Amino acid sequence: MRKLIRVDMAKGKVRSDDLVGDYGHLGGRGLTSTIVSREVPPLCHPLGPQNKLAVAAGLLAGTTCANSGRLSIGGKSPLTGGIKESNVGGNAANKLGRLGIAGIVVENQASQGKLFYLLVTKDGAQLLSADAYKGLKNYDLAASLQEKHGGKVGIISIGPAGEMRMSAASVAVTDTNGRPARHAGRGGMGAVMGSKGLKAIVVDDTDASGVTYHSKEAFKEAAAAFRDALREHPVTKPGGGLAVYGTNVLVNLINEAGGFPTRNFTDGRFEGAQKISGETMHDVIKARGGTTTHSGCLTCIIQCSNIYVDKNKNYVTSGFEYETIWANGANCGVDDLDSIAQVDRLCDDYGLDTIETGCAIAVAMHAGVKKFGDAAGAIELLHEIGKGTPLGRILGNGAAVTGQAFGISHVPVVKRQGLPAYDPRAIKGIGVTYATSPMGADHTAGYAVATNILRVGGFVDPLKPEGQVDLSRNLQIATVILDSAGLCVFVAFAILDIAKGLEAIPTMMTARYGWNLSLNDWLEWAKEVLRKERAFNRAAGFTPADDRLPEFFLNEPLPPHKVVFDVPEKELDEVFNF
Amino acid sequence: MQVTVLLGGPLRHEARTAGQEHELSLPRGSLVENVLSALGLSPERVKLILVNGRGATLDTILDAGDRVALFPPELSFNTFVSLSFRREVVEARKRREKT
Repeated sequence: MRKLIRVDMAKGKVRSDDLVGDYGHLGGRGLTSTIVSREVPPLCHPLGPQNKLAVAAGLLAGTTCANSGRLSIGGKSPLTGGIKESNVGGNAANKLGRLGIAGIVVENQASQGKLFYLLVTKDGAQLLSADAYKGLKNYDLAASLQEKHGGKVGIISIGPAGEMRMSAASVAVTDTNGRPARHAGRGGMGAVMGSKGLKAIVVDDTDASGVTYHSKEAFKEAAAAFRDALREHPVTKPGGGLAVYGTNVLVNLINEAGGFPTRNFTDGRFEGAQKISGETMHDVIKARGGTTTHSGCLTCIIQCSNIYVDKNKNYVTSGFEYETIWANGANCGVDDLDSIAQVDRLCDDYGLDTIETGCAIAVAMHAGVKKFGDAAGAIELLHEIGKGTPLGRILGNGAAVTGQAFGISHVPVVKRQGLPAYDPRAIKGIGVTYATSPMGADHTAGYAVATNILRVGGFVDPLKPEGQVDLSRNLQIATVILDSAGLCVFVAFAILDIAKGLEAIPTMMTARYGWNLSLNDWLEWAKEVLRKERAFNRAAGFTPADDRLPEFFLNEPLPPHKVVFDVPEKELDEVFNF
Repeated sequence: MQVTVLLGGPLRHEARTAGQEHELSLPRGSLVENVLSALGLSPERVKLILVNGRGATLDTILDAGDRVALFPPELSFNTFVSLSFRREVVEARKRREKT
């Protein structure tokens, strides 16, 4: 029986319950969103005692399934004011799974000024004082905790931004090398963790019993089919696109398609794209002796991560990703990969979402705080955030607050969350997802692919409004399954094309738990999760007006295609017609 | 006429002359497939074709000043972009096979 740990920060008490009843079939996003919708008052203040921080491993966590190491972190978001599931890789989810722990719910708040961390081992969980770690950045914190608890523990932590309760604050998770380079960035979940007085969760799976299987043989067979699909597909296979170039390979593709948001979403192509592309990054890393093919997350066989080193071959950052490079590169007019790597490291250290931070800095640049292209200026602004100066606190609360503070209208947010790296005018399907996802502007919420996409008749032109709503709806439903199984969103590329990979997912769930659910049952289950998320948002005050893109996307044509976002509002309201 | 060609990922090493960006002189009325032959690239290695940022096929006719981007199967993976464009390519191939 999987366990749910509940931590009462006010009383300093920890208890462990069997995961039964309505929560029994849940994992990952399905579990965090159900806990939040059931237990958190929708009108509560996100940084107050009534909000909860729900951390959940996916349903396949701890198993031998490839790419099953994703972790969900949920709560009411201080950024959007709605429900949030922020998804992250690293080494913690797998360890929780091996310990038989489905999730951890952090409730109430520690008394003012007190800071704790939670140590989770095979013998249970306990709260320990973290007063000595106050104000520590993520890299120093991870090193201190590893010194105390061993180098192999998984660490879920916040940096100074989370302690300062900034809405762009992330929750860091250590990667397979023990570096806090993987982040649940979106929605300010680091601020929620900070508001609880919780600095870190240390997961030690030494001598864990591991997961039990309803049918080990059946699981092995399905996991092998799933692994083979990932190894066959050109995008996900060893030596494939993601392994060689990382996610940053998208720069040239999206730039060519004219959807690469440049200088705060004023252009769809960046003249400096080549300098920050995946191909250039690959060559730079190779020439300097870094690592281009790296498993950032336990059980990963796609290996999209990397280790970026400076000119003197010293470690700078890892998991240097497309979204980060776009947000702090093209979006700020910066074409210097080394500077962007510095920004990534600082964001990881201060505990900031690289997307929200890049969006906020670009908005500040648009307002004239710094010039577009001023790489050194962007780094100065990041240090302002880390120090918590008044300017830093404005930026650290995201693009919407920054736009408001500087009085400009060109602010790319939905539900107050900054848009990721695809301009919705040129790639309209993702625009529908940005507008309607319960999470706010989020690319991963509708990035994966369900098989029925290929069954959707006709051709979905990214530049035309037709068909985008069906596309986005199917993607959003399918993504809930991946987020709840704890699978990496990139497995979608393989299972779209290779049927045995897709079929393996419900088979693995059945073999693990003995639940007899078909793929269609899981799709229905996913719709139920989305309905709960939407209901929470409605109760928190969201209306159809919140399912819209900012007006400039409708009025300002984007070069080079000179297109606007023209999916009709009536159709946006039909995304959740189930 | 002159066209600019951008090669994604490993194609930059697989072309007859290595390099990510190429300026080619082609006869008027040339097709995308003539770009592939000029660069020594086999059609199997090109899964996603963009001409001036829009989905194209091997038989798309080029104009002077066009910008052609070619991506191999291992890079054709943004679903919102490539799924749509790939479908166009697949359909065009099917049409060609029929005729």
